[in-house]
Amino acid sequence: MKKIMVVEDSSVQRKIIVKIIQEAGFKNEILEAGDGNIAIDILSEHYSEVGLILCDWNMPNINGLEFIRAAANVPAVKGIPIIMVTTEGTDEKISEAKKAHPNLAGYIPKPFTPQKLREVIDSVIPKN
Amino acid sequence: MAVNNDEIISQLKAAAEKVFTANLRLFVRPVSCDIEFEGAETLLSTVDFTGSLDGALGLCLSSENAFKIVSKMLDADPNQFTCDVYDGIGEVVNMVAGLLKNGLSLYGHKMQLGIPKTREGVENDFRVPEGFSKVKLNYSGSGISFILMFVYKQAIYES
Repeated sequence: MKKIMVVEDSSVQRKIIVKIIQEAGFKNEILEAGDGNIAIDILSEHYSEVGLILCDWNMPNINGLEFIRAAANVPAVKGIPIIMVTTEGTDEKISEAKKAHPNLAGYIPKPFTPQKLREVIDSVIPKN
Repeated sequence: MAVNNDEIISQLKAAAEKVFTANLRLFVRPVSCDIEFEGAETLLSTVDFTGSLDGALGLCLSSENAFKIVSKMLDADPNQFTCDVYDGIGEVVNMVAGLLKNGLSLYGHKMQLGIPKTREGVENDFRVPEGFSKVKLNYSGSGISFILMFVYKQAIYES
């Protein structure tokens, strides 16, 4: 079973996302990263095990846009679907993210409801 | 490009309502009286705005109310997440700031948000630099109260 990676600098928001995923019945192991730098480190070791990435935009060090742009340029990881979960909700920003990664599978503006997050994840990976 | 003070207040109120009432189910409302914290330990959380409108959004509240909000976010006993309170309140301000930014984009403003910073502090620590305007809203309800502040200066463009 593929793992889900949550890239989010807020530890509280990470806990909320992980809780929603687990309560929704997804049994996938979850990897957590506090910024894009850490996410790259984790991916470099576990890229073949990751089946979905949930990614914030505004983070210290390497932000979410820089991270997905970098991921799009690595053949081994560019096929991993990415869902942005971010306060950046303007059409311009959504378009910027879509241009940065061809496999952007969803865009969830914050604040979001658990139902919204479940629906978008459901549309990308099957529940096991 | 220009947005007036009333429009900023309207966008800030809409952002706060979406985060606190619609998302966190905390039924807070703007109140006309000043919020007093009466010697309680208070937190000040801020997010910087840069771009066609420079400034910062600030949230000031007592530590006790910060615990209540983060408890609501995590649906957990406050004693379980002491170290998360600063982070959680920062995320609340981040969400309000994001919605405010999106609302102001309707007036043509393009801005970047900074990373939330939370520390012990009082309302007066949220400084208004010379030439900047300030919006202040007091909120109360659901057993909590807080102050939302936005200081800003719009870039001047030649027509």
